[in-house]
Amino acid sequence: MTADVEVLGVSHRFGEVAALRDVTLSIGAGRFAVLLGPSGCGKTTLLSVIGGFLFPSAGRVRIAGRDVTGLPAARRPTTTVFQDYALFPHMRLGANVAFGLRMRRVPRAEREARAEAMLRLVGLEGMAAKMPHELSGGQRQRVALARALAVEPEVLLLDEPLGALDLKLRRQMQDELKAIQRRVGTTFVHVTHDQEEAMAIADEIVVMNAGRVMDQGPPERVYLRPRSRFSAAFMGEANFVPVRLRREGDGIAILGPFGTHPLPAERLADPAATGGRAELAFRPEHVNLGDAPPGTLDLGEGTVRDIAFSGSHRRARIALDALDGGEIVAYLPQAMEVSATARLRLHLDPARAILLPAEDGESRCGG
Amino acid sequence: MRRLADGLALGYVVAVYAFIYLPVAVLVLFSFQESRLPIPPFDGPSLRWYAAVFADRRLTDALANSLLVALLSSALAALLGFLAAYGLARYRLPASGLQRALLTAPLSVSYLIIGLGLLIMFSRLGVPRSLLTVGIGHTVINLPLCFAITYSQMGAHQENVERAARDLGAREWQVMLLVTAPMLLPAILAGFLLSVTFSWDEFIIAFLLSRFDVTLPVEIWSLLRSGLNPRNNAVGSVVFLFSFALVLVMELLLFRRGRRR
Repeated sequence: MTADVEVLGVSHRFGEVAALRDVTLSIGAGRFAVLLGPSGCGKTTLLSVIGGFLFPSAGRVRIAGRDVTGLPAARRPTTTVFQDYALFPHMRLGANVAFGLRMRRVPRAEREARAEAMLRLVGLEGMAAKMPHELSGGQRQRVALARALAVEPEVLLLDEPLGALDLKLRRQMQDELKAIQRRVGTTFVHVTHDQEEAMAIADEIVVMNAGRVMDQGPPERVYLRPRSRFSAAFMGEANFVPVRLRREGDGIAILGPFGTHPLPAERLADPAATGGRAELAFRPEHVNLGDAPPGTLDLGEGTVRDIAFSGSHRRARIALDALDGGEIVAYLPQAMEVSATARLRLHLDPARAILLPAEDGESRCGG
Repeated sequence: MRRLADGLALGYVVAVYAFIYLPVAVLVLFSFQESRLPIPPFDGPSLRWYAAVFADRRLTDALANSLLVALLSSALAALLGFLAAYGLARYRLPASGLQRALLTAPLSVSYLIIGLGLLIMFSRLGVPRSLLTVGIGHTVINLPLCFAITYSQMGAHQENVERAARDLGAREWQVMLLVTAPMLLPAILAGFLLSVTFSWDEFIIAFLLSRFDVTLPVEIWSLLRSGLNPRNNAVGSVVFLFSFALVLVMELLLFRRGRRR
């Protein structure tokens, strides 16, 4: 079973602290959505609101078109996989997985068969008689997943389910989680602060900060064409250079430290901001070396300040002459050996350039 | 110098344990006395005074009464203590700090005061003194203990587990019965067993609130008025043995279990 989730104008306060501010988003049925943001940004609060553990101060939640805002968790077509797994410590795995079915008065023989099938789905075949304390962290995680899926929810909510696992196991579980989601077809809403994890598993990423949705879309779009400075900076590394914009025919031109350069108007994430201040953003891997061929954005010359080998590339901090020594980050080819004071000439493919509306200051939430 | 210090320390330790356990050891030893007086020299061992204890209807009745009161009042105290702890830990209640304090305060009130208070209240209400009133008295003194032990074990992790149960469709009573109580079973059992030992040899309240049917400590008290007698030693040994067995059960059942986890 699967259903779409709609969150309409949801706000929530914990005393004086606004945890969610007018959040609106919709997640299509059968999608794997990831709520991504730094800790304290409201993503877990939003998950609790969708799951029915928290009733928002304002706004509505709809699942499969039905308003569930006032319904408690037990009466929603959702189940949750908790960060600490929250397995029943005194029950065997079979009883843990079958608990939801027992509450639904499914006959014993049938629920045992279904529990076994769910354990098989998560790769714990034949372990129904084990106790939770006999398992490793990764195995407990799988049991929690099986238990939540056993009642065939329309929407499965996952609260940082991989947060307690070590990196290698986490990457492996990501792939499995994705495969399981494909098989059961249930809508998954997954919370994480790990952008790599988000990109690896999501059909749809919702970037959140300070209780607001900063961006929402497929991973590729959110990474390559972020709609806010926050999501550009949170999803991987990015360089930001303030520029001015001017209308030129059908398109616009950017005026800034790198001279005047025409760009198609659709480049700007928010067209309403055209004519004012903007920010030119680009990813470190999009910075090219050498003289700028025609039609590319010439970044001019710069001096390498620092260089570090990071496996697939070399990460360099380069002080650009055009920015009066202001630094950018560029990923240089792995094979290229550069000394720490080398002079380099750099350019950028305008198709890779991101234009963002200028923001007054940076709003990040801590904690 | 070092040897002297060690010798003093050893002597001190021996003195402390002797002070605590010697009276009990002497009591138990002279319960096996052959002759009529529980004083040296020891001329046993003999089980004749134990036979006398178990042949005495008044003593065996009192023993049964004590067991009944201890088990039922402790079960009730454990149940009420668990419910109070669950309510105070899981719900936002008005003045919950004050309520917690009021629930645990009787721990620091003397049994004499509690017994007198209950005696006055029962006689005003016209409730006759009986094993029931003794049981109520023991529930009153043991409830704070059961509450405090259970409450101290209710943490945030269990709250998440309860949330998971609710998420999977459990009603509130099912959450309590199938999830919370089993998770807290060690704490609830510890409260129950401690209550049984306290109720088992409690005297003042049992004395004030009982009339025809009495518990073992009250019966022993009336025996003592007839003077020293190895039979009293034998009854005392039975009381001690039962308490000791309970403590042993608690150790094996709860603390072993805690270590295994």
